[in-house]
Amino acid sequence: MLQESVLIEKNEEIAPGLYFLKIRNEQMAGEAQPGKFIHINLGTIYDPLLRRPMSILNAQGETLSVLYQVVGRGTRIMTRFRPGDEIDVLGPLGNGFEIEDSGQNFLIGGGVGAAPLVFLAHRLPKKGVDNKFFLGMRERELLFIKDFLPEEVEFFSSHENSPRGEAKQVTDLLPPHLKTKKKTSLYCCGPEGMYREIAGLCNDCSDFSIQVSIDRRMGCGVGTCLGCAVKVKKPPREEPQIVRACVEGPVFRWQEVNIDGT
Amino acid sequence: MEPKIQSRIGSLELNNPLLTASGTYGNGREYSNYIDLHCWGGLVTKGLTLESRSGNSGIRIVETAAGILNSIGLQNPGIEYFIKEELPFLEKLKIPVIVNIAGRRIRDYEELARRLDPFSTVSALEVNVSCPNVREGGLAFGTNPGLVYEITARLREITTKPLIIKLTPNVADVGEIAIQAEKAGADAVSLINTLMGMEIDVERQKPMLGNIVGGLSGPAVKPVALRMIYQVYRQIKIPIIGMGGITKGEDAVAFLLAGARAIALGTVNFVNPKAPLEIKNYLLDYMRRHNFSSLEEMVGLAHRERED
Repeated sequence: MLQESVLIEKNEEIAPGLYFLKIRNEQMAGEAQPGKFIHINLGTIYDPLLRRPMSILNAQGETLSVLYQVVGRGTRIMTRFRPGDEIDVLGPLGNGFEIEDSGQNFLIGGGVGAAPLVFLAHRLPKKGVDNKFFLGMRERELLFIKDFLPEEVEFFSSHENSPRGEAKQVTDLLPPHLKTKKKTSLYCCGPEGMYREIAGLCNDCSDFSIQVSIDRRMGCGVGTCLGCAVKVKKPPREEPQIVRACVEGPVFRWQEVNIDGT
Repeated sequence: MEPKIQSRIGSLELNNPLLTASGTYGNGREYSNYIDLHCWGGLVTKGLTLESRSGNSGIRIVETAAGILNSIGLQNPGIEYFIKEELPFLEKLKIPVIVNIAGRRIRDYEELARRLDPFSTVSALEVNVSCPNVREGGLAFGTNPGLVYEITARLREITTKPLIIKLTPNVADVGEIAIQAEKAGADAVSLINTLMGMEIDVERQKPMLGNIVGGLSGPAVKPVALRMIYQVYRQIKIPIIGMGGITKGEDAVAFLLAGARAIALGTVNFVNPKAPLEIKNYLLDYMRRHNFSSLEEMVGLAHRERED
């Protein structure tokens, strides 16, 4: 974990409203893990005030990249970062995904939030394992993500405007793949409703584990402001407890966060 | 010669005037990865209650123009856990630790003070009578001058540790409250806690915060805080710990000139963990430029013209 001034290598619009930001810092890149995030100071001298948490899209050698969608004032300001500029970055923060020893790995993403799964795809074991990436999109705006994936990862996608009979939601893609006896690990990034549906589909399956990345409004990113509270139930404790998405998360086991058991 | 930036709050001696603002720094542990905690004059801990509290549900933090609204709701593990798990860590730091206490009833505050009194690691108590985010919380006390007097007087009987009463800005006359705290034996007052506010999500036509209202902090509130400190400085003799939207060296100096003897940094920690170092360097440089040899010479200096 560092607070560093880092050099921007790239900040390009790679699809309408979607930007690819690449920064250079050897130690940060070295400490990066799939599911962790970096906390970017916008350099606006306090308006907008807070840093912006961004999932790590990939990290190699001395560089680290994120994918962001322009949704508000903060991300609009980020589009003005130029190669050669320096920005103040905190991180990597959070816990990241736990890579499990499974017969197959399903990476399931909804929208631009799928970015950390790209990083994960690069870190999964390759031999004797089936790695599949499922991506749900509104239209086809995120198809470029396929090009970021390692070759051996099978790619499937759905779009909300698909013709009749084709997958509209990412969860429409899953059922045929779930008929398996192999031990399967699911790694999910998207809205919480999507997690609930995925868990529902896996209900009758035997050997599945589900990890999900939980999205919360964040303040400090390091665990002091207590803004990003997540209610979890972790055995052996029977009472739910409040933990921080930025420290104990953002990745949780689905059964830990699904405390009402629905 | 290096300017002297030591400060004193009652019997509490600080190496420099910079404190953490309660609730923005945990108990220091998290930031120890980013910064040497010894750069602080003292640490003010997250608000502590007798029992553990899980805090408010729903969205707890919203960014606003040059600020944030929060409604955490005094989430904390309770005094037993604090004494067992947090105090040993704080003890090792060897810097002044000011424990912020909050309660629903006067006897909660008394009990907290009684249990903390034996620990030498606890250098002072900051009495939170101003949290805007819990229904039966301190704010009901903090807006009532008589109750502030009573709570301060009762705690004064329990502990000889410096007592700092943290005041809310959500009142018509903050000076009257400060006067009552002083009369009842407080060693200092700290101000301001957050300003009560809210934000509405216009697309969903609902309040943004789960708790509907929250406390506003950050640079947006700085002029309000500065005015209150300037005002209260003229009404009491005990030291003021000033806070509210300080983000840079100039702000810190302004608070000292308005009458604060120490200053606390809060929301800025979320954005820039190195802020205390930058502010301390600015302060030293400022004092050299203006030929101040000690902090004492600066405190309240902005009142000079009116006195002339």
